[in-house]
Amino acid sequence: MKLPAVLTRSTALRNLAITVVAGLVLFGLTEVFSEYRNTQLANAGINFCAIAGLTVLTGLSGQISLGNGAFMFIGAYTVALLLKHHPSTSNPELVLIVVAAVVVAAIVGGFVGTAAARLRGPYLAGVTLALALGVPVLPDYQHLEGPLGGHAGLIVNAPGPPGGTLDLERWQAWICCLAALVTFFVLANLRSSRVGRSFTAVRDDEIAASLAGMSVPRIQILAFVVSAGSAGLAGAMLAIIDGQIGPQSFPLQISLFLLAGAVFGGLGSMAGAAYGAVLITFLGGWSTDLSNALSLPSKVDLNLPPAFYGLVLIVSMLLFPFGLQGLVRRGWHRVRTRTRPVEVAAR
Amino acid sequence: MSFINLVIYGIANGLIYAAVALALVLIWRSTRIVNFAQGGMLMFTTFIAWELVVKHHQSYWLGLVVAMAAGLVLGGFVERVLVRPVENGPPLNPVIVTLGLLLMLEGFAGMIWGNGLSSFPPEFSVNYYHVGHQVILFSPYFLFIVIAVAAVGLALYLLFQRSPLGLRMRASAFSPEVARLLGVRVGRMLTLGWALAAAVGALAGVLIAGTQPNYINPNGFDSLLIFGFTAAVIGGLDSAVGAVVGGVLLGVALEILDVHVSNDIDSFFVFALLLIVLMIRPNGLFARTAVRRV
Amino acid sequence: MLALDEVVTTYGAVRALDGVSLQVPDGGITAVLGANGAGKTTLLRSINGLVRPASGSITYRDRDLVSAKVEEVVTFGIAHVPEGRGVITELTVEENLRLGALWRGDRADANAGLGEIYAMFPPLDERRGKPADTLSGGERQMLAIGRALMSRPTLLLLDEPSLGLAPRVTAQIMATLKRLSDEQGLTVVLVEQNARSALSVAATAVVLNLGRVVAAGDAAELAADTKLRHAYLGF
Repeated sequence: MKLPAVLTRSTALRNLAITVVAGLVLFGLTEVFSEYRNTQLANAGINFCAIAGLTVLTGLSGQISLGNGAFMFIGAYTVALLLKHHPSTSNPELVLIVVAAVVVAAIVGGFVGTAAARLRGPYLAGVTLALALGVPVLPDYQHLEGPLGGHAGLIVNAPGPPGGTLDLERWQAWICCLAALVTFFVLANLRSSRVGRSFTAVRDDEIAASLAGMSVPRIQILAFVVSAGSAGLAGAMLAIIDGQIGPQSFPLQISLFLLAGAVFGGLGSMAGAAYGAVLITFLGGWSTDLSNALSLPSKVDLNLPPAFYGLVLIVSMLLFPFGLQGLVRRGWHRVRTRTRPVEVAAR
Repeated sequence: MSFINLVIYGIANGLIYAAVALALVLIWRSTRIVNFAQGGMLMFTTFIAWELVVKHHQSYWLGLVVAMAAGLVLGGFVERVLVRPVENGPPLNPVIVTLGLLLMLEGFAGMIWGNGLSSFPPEFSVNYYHVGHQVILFSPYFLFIVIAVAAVGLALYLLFQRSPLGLRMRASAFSPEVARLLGVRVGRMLTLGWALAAAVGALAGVLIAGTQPNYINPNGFDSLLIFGFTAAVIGGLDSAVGAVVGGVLLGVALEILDVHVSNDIDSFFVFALLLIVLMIRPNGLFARTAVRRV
Repeated sequence: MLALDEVVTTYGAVRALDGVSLQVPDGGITAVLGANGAGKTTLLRSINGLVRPASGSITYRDRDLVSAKVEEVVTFGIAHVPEGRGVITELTVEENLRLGALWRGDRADANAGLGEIYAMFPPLDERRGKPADTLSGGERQMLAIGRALMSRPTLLLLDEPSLGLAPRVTAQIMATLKRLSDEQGLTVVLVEQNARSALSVAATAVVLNLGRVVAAGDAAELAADTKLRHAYLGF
């Protein structure tokens, strides 16, 4: 299919086109989906936001972070607290609140990223793991218990769909998909921009990058901020559609699931983030269905996802380091080279 | 609580963190990998011991031995099968593989034993000693912890510094190519390193399960991993002595935090401490300053 | 006897050894000479299996070395002192030495060997318990050779032992090698850029250039061949 020239030349326009098309497709899906499926679609959108940020951080800039659960926590709690203090919020104001959540998460991400700017590989993984474990205990701290709702958590009083005539689940799917589309547009353009290229430059060869005049710490912190902000957005949307959040909403396993999704789909790729989001959204349901069909106890279907994601991570590293998108690309490349007519060299 | 009591209590817990730190240091020194699955591995072996001792009423000592033996097998298997293929590639890959293993172990443990909380009471009394009217925050169980970790530490020291096998393992870690030229089967030494580390971790898991009721749970040992990692980083990932010192320091610091500030924010404190240590003294207190020259 | 037959070893597209055939007779010192990049180090690494030849055969006393694992080679009686000495600096002098004898698993023999090495190299005796990184360059070379001898080899491969050493120290090392070869019948393959000092103790010599053997034979004759010396050896 030959694309119009303007689309092949401008990546931003192409990304916009993809965003619009995807948006239309998703809208269509929400029309036909049941309530259950729409809720799942909403969750997929949320997961996409978090995974897309992580895949940019790990895939493009080569930094591994296990702390995305903590930034989701921050985004979620920001929304919950702002809504608590402004009980009757309209939907346009909700947008501002979500933006605020993203900004707060991004700022904290900036702090953590700055402090961790010199850390590499396992050290960074360890620190972000500690972050993922450390942030959710804060509401249990006696001096923060009051404002943060303690162990029981906070109710999130989000405004419902405008006009009140819309299905709640459809509305939730819309706003989460909207968040996902915005995330896609921003991150996809970031990827192909100079900033995105500086991420990969630093990942591939720090010394060369810094000799070329790039500030390595600044670039790495920026990648961290982007990932934290995306996770904050995911957490904010989760708070809105779940209606309540608590310290146990964001355990370490969430961060690990996000990593599994990113690796499965293919690190650094937006399509990969989409595959990963689908995987981690729907696997829970599938494993419940499977274990019901096989009459297995609930402890099996509850724990099938982590076991499976663990397997995905291991198998991916050992056999498919480029994830599903890598396989897709390789397959596509093979198809293209086979169907292109062989040109005989002119004599 | 008097300061002495605080220190004593902190040291006892700190030695458990030190054991986990030792396991991490052992693996780091031999393969330059941080084993993020360590928490999962010791969780699994502790569950096995719990199954034997609490569910099937076997002797506590049998449970402990079986846990450590299971650790040996698990550690050796993991190195040979999962880690060997990624040992020499980009450093991100072993991180992801060990994290995947962590998830798998948590998943399997949940499938076998469920996600509820269980208790694994120790064989020794947890009642504190008295000196006259004064209660000392030290119990027979704490004494056991100290002796067990000290014994393991001593055994490792004797193995590494005083035995031919230990010499082979150290040579394999410092200069694998030279070691191979001298006839050392380097691959086997690495596998052994992982096996020993997992056995030490298994001990730590059983010990910590005895310190409070309702500790055992598939996800409950994640913070122990981070405490051990922080202890290892404080001491310097390359140093076994550093691991022990780091563990004890961390244990005492956490105790001070618990008594004077709050019981509930250990994990956050450890995160902040880890970040600060990595910012100011990333090589730890006992960093090897000599650059390896040939 | 060590025999190489049409050995080709490649690093990617580069043919470091381009069909090398040579024979090293038992006993005596054989010098392997040539400029940088001639393939000398690759030759030694191919012999003990650190790199695998793409084709050709390498045998020592009829044992095939191409398919042997690196860890096995020392059991065939071959000891390698790598370029840069390969002293493990985190271990003590004595630990380095003991490492050489470990494969035999004979502690009494190891103790006896230690005695011999300390007698041969008194500076090592003085520094038994010290970490190896406190040794000077010449002492490290002694340590590396001593460690290799601890494995009771019949064939000793040395890669540029004089590198970074003062001429007087080099002369001492060479004299020691000659004595070992004469007294114990040790076969020595001595890879050297410092052709002059190597030829002064060697019985036979092989000259490599760009991965090929360009001359082989009696060391004294090679040393006398001024055209050869100018072309390939730089003096």
